[in-house]
Amino acid sequence: MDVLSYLLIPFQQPMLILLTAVGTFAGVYVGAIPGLSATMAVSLLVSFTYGWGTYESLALMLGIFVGTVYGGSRSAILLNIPGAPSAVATGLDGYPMALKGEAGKAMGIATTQSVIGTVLGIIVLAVAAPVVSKFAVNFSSMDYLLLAVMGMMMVGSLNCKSIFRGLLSAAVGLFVGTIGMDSMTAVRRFTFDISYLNSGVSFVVAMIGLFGVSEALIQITSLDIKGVKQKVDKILPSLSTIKKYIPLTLRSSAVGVLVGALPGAGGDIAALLTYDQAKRTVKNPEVPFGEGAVEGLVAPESANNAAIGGAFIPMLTLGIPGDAVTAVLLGALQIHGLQPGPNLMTSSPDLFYVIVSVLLVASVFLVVFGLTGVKLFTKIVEVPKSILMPIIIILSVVGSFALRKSLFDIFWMLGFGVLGYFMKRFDYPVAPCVLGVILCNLLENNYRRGITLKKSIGGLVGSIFTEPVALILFLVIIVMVGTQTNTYKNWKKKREEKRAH
Amino acid sequence: MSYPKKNTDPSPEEKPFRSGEKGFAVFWLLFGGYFFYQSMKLYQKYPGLDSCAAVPLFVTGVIVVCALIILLIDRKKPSESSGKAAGEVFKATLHTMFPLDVLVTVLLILLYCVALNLRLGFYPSTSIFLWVAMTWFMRKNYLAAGRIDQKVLVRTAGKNLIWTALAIIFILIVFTYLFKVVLP
Repeated sequence: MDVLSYLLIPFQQPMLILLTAVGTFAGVYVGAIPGLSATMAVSLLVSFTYGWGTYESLALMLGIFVGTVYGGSRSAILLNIPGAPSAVATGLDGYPMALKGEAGKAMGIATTQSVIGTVLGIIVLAVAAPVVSKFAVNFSSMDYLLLAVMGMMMVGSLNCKSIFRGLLSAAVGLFVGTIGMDSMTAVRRFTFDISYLNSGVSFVVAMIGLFGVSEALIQITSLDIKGVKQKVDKILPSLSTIKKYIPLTLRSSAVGVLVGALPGAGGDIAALLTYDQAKRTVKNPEVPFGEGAVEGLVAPESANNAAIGGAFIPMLTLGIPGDAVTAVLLGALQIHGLQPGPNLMTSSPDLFYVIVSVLLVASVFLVVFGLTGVKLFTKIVEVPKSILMPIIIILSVVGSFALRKSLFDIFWMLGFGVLGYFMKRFDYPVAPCVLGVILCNLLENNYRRGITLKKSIGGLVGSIFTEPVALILFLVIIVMVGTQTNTYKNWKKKREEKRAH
Repeated sequence: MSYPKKNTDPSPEEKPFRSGEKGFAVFWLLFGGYFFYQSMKLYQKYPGLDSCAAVPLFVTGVIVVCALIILLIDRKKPSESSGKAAGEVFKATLHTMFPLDVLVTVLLILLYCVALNLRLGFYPSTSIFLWVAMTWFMRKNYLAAGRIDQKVLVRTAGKNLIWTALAIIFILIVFTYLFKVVLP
């Protein structure tokens, strides 16, 4: 009975509902702008809501969180510029859909899948938080390393001229991620005595440049080609469409929750993993992946939103943030005199269930705000390129400056933009490079921790066979590698030909 | 619900090589080679599989190996500039890398960076960049057979001023007022 009364608290205070609505609305549009992130928005709100009550502050911040995770997909779909790292995978099929005039359909699918993913993540949070947090806490360095390797395996499933171009691009991204002061030993790597480089290259700067500015430069080479008229008569997907993809949604959301629950791994990694999984497991998609496959939207959008619920699990049950946003929220709760952790359920049980309830309310508002404004957003794509592209370049400049208030971030972002332009011009995929920058810390730090513990490569590899989770992840990687070989592809082709006859 | 026809464009593997595409692999070889050398120096200073140089050494090695493989695989494949003289190949490469509009944009970006670095002010620099870029991209509206149609130029320039103003107002409201970002 107490649980029910805690869950109903937001419904007894209309102000909380209003603040959640405002937060979600703002989050959707903030998330769509590259350079503005959930972390930034929530951080600002911590000081803004300092004098407010705990529930009121939480309602606004949680609304922004849910909104921004979804919002990043809008610019990814319309402009091929992910508003957030978690939307990188969404653009791979969302943008091709927009190029065909199906931006409305793409955003409708992204909205519904985001809502379903959010709700599933919240259900796991409410029901299975202690179990999931136990699993997350037992993740060792080897497990994180294998997770990062799994993320890198996605390189092989991205459409490019050859696997070696994808590998080269990924290696460049990993290399960029090593620039700066080493987090373990404080040794400066490849900084050439430039003090700006001591803090490394921000992956958001690399992402904005490699996706945003490079895409603008590519579009500038075809200014005469008018923007495609978008079909926006049917945005909300039919119930049968949603039902058709339920198995994929459930699988992707499950991965999203688990990955979100891992401290240091968030919606971006979940989205990449599930996109890759969908590409490997979905047989005969109606449209090939990379050309506007609906499955290419369903998987990452449900996963990155399910990761929201997952991120709260270690934060609330153990006091360990699941991602950057929950780290800020942890600070916000401490400012309000609360201490998330193992004693939260006894000292402040209402807080846990209020968070669950507010997240559910935010997901309802996500349906409303996600599906409205789509027509307005799709008009953006119809603005002539000669006007739109310079504006995109400037928004990219402002977005990259907003991160650390550094002019050098702007210069680096523009440099990445020019590099990304050449890569696209010469058919080198850009997504693996961004992937490498995102995953570099996770991969390197856990590799080095693992080697330090096991003393040798042999010991590290051997630990795969002594740890159950590591063994499962390793077997998944073997399957992923095997399915990329020509032998497997030829065997699969022959099998399909036999079935056709 | 009907779906669009399958894409009949050539797959990435089938697309012909652009001028300069093979040379881009040489760029990566040199890039990877240089940083592999830097990583080796770092590794000599901090040896060990768990050192700060281990992963950079490995990934730059991967860059070098991949670049070499790409050069080997692609060396005999035909490209747009196959059979042409070196001078023509160079021109074609420059044209592929820097079509006029891209060249102008990159130059404008460089000038914009200089203006920001010289602290000429974000709003003036940005406004000039936006207006000049938009007006340049729309030159086909007012420029025909080397002659400028002044009426169309004024109309185009005026519309671009409005778009510039709208963009600046958006940045002002969202970044400066809402998010309190102090712009350069």
